[in-house]
Amino acid sequence: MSLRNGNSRFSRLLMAAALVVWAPETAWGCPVCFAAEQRQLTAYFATAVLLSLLPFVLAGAITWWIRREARRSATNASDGPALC
Amino acid sequence: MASVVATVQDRPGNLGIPNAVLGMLLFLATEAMFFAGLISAFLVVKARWIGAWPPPGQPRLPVEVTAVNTLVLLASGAVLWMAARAARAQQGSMERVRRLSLLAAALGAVFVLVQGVEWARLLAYGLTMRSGPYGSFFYLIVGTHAAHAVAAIVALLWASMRLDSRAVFSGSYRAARLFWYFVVGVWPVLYVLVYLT
Repeated sequence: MSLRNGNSRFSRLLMAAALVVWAPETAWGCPVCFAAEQRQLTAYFATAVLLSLLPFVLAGAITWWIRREARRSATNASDGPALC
Repeated sequence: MASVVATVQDRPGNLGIPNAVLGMLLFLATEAMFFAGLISAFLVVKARWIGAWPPPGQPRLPVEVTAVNTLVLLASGAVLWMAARAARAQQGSMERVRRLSLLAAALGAVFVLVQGVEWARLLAYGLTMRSGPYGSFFYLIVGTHAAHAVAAIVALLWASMRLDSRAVFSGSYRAARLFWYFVVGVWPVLYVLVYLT
């Protein structure tokens, strides 16, 4: 790598860092979150929370249920055949 | 019956969970996400709506009739829960479990029927899929739930008709029950969001 190429890469990195530090408002990812009415913001926030957390809740609930069934199954197997 | 259960449980590494039940759980997890997506879209569109919601000039939804219908659906869930309890506790015969399961399916059918009658009335009043976001979301969300209710009723009827002393503990009956509990459980949320807010 030549010195000139290295300088060019460094200056590009420096420019990117400067943009991140001094112009963060252009980096917001949500195009509607900051120009909406309060009820719209509430709706966006509520649905974002719902859709983000629900997969974890579902996965956790299913894992918990499987563990409970497995424990119950193991207990029943040691006590004799289970009915359900 | 006991020997059947013992055979299943004696398999090494077997958790005692039928494949049908596990498959139904995963299916219901995806369905929960699907309904969450519909609800989210509805909430965002409603929040962005300029003016009153429901929009003026659109027919009002039958809140009271649907409230009674919701009670019918909840009752069907309770009846099915009683059937499951009877099966688990081995109270009475399989006939009692089958009768309760069929009663739950019948109450579910009443729910779908009343919904259908109300939709016909709303269509006659001019609320259609194309009459705006209000009608679109109403038929999309409530219609999707109704499709699930019909599928769950068919599954429950099929599983109930196949009930015998062994099948009551089989995966298919338990999976059908889970499906129906999901249909019953998701409806109050949809009712509050679509009809009451």
